[in-house]
Amino acid sequence: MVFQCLNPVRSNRIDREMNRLLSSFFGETPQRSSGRRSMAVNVWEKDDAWLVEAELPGVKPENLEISVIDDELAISVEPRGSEEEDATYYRRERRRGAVSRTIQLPTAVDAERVEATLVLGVLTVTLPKSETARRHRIQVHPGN
Amino acid sequence: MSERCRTNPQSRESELQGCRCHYQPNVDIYEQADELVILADLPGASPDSIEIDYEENELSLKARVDPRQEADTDFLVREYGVGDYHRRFRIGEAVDTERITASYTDGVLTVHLPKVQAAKPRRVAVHSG
Repeated sequence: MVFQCLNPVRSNRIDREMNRLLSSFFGETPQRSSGRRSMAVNVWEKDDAWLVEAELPGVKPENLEISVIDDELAISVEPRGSEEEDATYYRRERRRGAVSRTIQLPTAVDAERVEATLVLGVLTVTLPKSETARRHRIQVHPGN
Repeated sequence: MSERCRTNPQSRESELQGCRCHYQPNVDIYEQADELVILADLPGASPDSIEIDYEENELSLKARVDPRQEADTDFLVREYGVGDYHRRFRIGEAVDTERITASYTDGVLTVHLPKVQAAKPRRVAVHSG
C-alpha cells in the first residue's frame, strides 16, 4: 500500500541507494536476510506486551512462519500466488515474492506466550514481556 | 452494489468528510479472453464497507478501515499508515455491468468484469458449399 507516488520507480531506487550508503557508512546491512525483501511493520507497547503488526494481504496462515528467540521476532512469508496464464497484465503492483523481517524488541519476551493472529490480511503478534522485563512500581515506605 | 452511491449521494459526501486519510491500494489488473480481473490489496478493510462503483467506463473501489490502535498510541516503529482505501480506474473495454462480481478474502478484493458479448472476438465457421 502506498500513497500516490509520482515516480515510484525512481523513489525506490533512491531508497535503495540511500540504504546502501547508510549501510556502508554504518557497516551493517539494512536487511539481514539477503535476497529477500523486507516487510513494513508497526510496533507499539502496552503495559505488559509488545505488539507487532504487518499488512500481509493474500497470505494464509500456512504460508507464514513466526519465531521468537529472546528479544528477537522473526517473520517470514512464502511466495504467494502465481500469475494467471493466458492473461495480459496491465498493472502488477501487488507483492508476490517471499518477504521476511527480523525485529529486535527493547526487552526480552515470554516466548511461550507469544500469540499471532491473521485477520483480513493483517498480522498482529502479541509478545508478552518477560517477567523480569516488566516495570515494577516500587512502594516507598516512610522511614523512622 | 454500484447503485448505492448513485442513489444516495448525500451519504457518500458525509462519509468522505469523516475520513482521516485515503490510501491507494496496490492492484493487479489483467485481461483474459472473456473478462478483466482486478485484484486489490485492501488489508484490514471492513468487508461490508467495500464499495465498487462502475459508471461510464470508470471503476471506483472504496473501503473503510477501522482504526486498529488507540488514537494516542505511542509507536516504537511506524513504517506504514492505516486509513481508508480509494482508487479509480478508467476501463477501455466494454463491460457487462450486470454481471460484475466481487469477492473479498484474506484482505484481497477480486473484481471480475465480464466483457460484453459483442466485444469478444468470435470465430465464424465457414461452410464449404
